[in-house]
Amino acid sequence: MDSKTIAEQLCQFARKNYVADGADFDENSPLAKAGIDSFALVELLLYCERTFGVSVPDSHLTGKNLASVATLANCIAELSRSSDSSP
Amino acid sequence: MPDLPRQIRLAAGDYYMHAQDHKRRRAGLPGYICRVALRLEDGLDVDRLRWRVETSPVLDWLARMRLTRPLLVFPAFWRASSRPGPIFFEHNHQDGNGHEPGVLPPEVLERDLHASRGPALAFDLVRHADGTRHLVLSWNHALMDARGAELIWLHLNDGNGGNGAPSLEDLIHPKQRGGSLAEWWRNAKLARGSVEWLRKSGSEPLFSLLPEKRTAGPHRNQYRIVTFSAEETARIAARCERLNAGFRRSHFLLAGTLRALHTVATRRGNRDGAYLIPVAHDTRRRSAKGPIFSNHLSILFFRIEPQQAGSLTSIISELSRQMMDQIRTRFPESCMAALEMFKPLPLNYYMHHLGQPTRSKFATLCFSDSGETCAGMTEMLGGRIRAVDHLVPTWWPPGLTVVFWSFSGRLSVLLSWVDDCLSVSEVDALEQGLRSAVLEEKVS
Repeated sequence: MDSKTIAEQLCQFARKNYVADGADFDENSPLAKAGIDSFALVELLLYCERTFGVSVPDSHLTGKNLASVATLANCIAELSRSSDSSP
Repeated sequence: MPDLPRQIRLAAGDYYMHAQDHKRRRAGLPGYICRVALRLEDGLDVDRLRWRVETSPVLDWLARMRLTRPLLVFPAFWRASSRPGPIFFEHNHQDGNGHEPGVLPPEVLERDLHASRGPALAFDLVRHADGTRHLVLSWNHALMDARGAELIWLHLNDGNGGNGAPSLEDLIHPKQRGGSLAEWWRNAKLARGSVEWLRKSGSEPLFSLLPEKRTAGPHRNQYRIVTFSAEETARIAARCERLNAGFRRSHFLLAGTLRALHTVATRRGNRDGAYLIPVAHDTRRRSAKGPIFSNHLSILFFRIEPQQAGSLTSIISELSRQMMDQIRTRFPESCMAALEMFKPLPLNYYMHHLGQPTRSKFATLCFSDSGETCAGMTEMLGGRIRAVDHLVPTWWPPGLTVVFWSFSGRLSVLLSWVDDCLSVSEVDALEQGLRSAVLEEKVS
């Protein structure tokens, strides 16, 4: 699973659920400005669990990883790769 | 603007807030009337403001809405009255000034607004002797929530001379204009989860601030607003990041509040009473311009045991875990479905049912974090906005409400309490504990 595909799906989910119609939003938009608060963040993380089978641990919920959809997608792709490679 | 409906369904949140209003009045307190006060510098165009308020079709419609229940066997609904009643009032005030929070004349602070008798909202313009002003929007919480009030400010401040009036969709949620019986059955199924969850999390022992025996009244709802400087607000944000709670600012602020309350509770001898906190979330999309009317909320409940309440990090991680669990099991939808399902019940039965899981304690405190309030607004019709203050009455029970908001880069917090639930020295301790929890690095 590559980070670009993940980012596209996350963008779609955010647009459908949080971003107001007509508002500018893409994978590089800051998450905080797109309406992602603590509640929405949890919904986004649960969506990742359901769709990509990846749980994001608390230690990975850093400002850097949550800067935008693209950075979150990178983090998920990396977690997915590391869980695939682990025995 | 198209014709506005004359009759409309209540949102689940409207009836819940109406019940809180009823409970407060029965306890001898004023109704559940919220206020947002803009502190303005000189320069406000009063004639334009008056004209906007008096000619806005949105405000006219809101002023006409009355919560009606002609027969107990039918659910309550909103109906437009043929008489809107006055909603704009002007006062000259010699004692206060627009630089301080809460310095408002009693006729503004004690204005009663009834959802059934209406109008359920009012504007008060207070002119102080030094030229500064307070512009206060007061409303009965059954009519709308705080975001709805914020959207009214934006509507009034709209630079298009009224052309930017909200559309019907921005005023009323489409769901409230329809409705079917089949929905009731769906809600009944969905509601079961939250009722069971509340029964479990509301189990004894629970810490409550209510006195065991009420002293003779009259009791008052007291308010205290604590404002952090821009430098302190930046420090709080940095501390929040360091605790890995950047996106969970509300959790960080709630953790700080709980830690401070735990100190007060321990002084009262609380050993094993858990803290139960309902937290309402706005269900609108960010930057959406509506709906203005009604309460669009979902609720999460957190239970923190006293053993966890001594440490910020353990409270934050427990709040995150419980939030994850509740959203995973669709608790907020289930909770709103329960409120929707119980909505046809007469008010006293309704409150009895809602209070059952906690044996009428409801919660230890109510908490909300409004985030950035009146975002992007720097002036109101020519008057520069110096600050925004929220004055939210507390539910009774639990007798304490804590509300955070930010305006223009400064964080503020409202402590709202009933005077027989907390003493002034306890409120001082709460304020001090809260400040040190969110600001001081040595507090873990």
